[in-house]
Amino acid sequence: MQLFLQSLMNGIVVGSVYTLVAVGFALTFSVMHVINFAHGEFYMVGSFMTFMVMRYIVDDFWVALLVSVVIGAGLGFLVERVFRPSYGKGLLTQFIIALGLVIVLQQAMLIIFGGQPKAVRSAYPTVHTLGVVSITDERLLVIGVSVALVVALFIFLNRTKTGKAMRAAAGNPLAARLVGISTHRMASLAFIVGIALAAVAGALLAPLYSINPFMGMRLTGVAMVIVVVAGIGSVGGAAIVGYVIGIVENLFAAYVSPEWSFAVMFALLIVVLLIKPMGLFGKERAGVAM
Amino acid sequence: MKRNALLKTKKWRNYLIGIAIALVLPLIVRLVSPFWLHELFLIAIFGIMAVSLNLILGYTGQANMAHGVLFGLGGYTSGLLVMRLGVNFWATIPIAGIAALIAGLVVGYATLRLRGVYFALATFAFMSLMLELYTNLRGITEGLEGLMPIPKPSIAGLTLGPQQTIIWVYIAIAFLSLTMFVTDRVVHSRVGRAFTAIRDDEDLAQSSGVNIFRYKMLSFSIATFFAGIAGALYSSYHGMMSPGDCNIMFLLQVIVAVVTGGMGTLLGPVLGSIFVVIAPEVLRVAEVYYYLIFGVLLVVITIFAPKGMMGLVKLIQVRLKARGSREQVTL
Repeated sequence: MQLFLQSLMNGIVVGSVYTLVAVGFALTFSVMHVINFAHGEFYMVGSFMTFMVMRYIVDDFWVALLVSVVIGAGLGFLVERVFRPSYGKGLLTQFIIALGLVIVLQQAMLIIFGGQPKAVRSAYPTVHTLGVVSITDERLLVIGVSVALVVALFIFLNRTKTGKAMRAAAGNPLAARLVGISTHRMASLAFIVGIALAAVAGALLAPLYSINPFMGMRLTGVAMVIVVVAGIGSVGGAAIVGYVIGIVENLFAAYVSPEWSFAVMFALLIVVLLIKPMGLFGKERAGVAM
Repeated sequence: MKRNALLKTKKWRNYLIGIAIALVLPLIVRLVSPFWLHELFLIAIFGIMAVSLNLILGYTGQANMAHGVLFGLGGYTSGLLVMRLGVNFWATIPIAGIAALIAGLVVGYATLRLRGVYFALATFAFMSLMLELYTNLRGITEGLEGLMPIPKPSIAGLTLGPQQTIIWVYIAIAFLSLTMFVTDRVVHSRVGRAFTAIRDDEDLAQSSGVNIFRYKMLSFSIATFFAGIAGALYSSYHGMMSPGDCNIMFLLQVIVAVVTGGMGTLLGPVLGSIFVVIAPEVLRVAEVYYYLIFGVLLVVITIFAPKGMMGLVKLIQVRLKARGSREQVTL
């Protein structure tokens, strides 16, 4: 029982991070149907920015988080501009641009910070014990920030005019343009928000694990699994599946085998795709050509 | 009739030029610098991978992400047969191809009903799953360290060690030529026209009586067969096979070769392979920055030459012709 509850708790923490990354991935896909293969790298960059600020500038986690968000948003703006010439040019062209971005970001961090794994000091190391489960403030913070941001994103997408415009641009670009919504501007906004969320996830997880320039690829894989299982373009589905995958992965690692948990995730994805090709929450086929 | 005959002589001329290059180039490279023979071998291996991937990617329009791990399957099959059962390497080449083909049929059967992005992501999942298998089935694959040392094969009593790189180069080029020949024949047949019909408009192809699923499977299996062969050659030359040899970076390099060379052209993927192998070597002078520059280069090339090198070649040809006839060209 203790193992179960502790794994569940760890699963929720990891799932919180997965959700932030996957929601951003779904968001950047939604407007211009770009599969941003470099998405996990911004998570990695977020971690490194947190490391940089806390080690060399001010030793304050919240300042580091803020810097990561701002840098993430700025990168989001730039990255959308990089992808812009490729809209409608097909999946593969965008894949290669994304690969270029992956290499550039990894190498930039490698050159600046070196390849040694780095540790970020935990700002809130106090341990609480809830019955048989123990958890640090740091981890509670991860869960809290993740939930708050996902809720905020939902309010933004469903209640504000800009958010509704973004959904309109994603749902029917032509009709959106007819009523005066700039799809390019919406794509830009989606990238800014989506990549900033990935950077936040990286900042949140940085104190929990050691960080290195090549850790983003794994998160990209996880985000892809989550988004496809949820149904491409379903931001709400991605949020739910993100937590579920985090929990399932940790339970599987605790009870069966940690090294096979990644393989099981992909096997699960294949099964879902065979039974429900649109994903669990996908409504219609996203009209995406090669 | 006359036109046909003309095309035929032109075709024979092209074949002869190809054979001449294949025979002479390794000798020249050998004279200039034996180090580049190794690069030439890699170009030929990437060439086999890129030309075969192009069949499914460029001609049939399906973004197959499982091509790299099937290369790995070929490498593991050949390596295991040689190491554990002592099978003659030359006999394992077709077996590796067939093993990859069978795995390709399984993957294809599961994923080829999906379209566009969904197909790409499903094959991506297969790729990740197979890589996990290669890494975790330690009893068979030796995990991350990989199979090694795979004994070197011999030909007519001569062991093909590091001194005999030129023979490896000729072998690889021979298989590259075979891949190109088969691709060329397939593409210019009824089957090839079905492939391009599927690429251009799947629904239209289906309504004109093309059995989409069957033709996709055919394209998939021809391509994966050659991927398996490339894997067998590579693992034997290299003397080892590990998950790192067929991971996502490898796959992406092959895709880069196809796309920067020019999708849906015969020579494009070969030019792309030259780019993929040579560019990092040339950029090595930039020391720590060389991968960074390579990344920037990729983005810039893809944005400014979306049709790849063959697209540029065609553009130049059209421009030159236009200058001759003083016509205006709009592109």
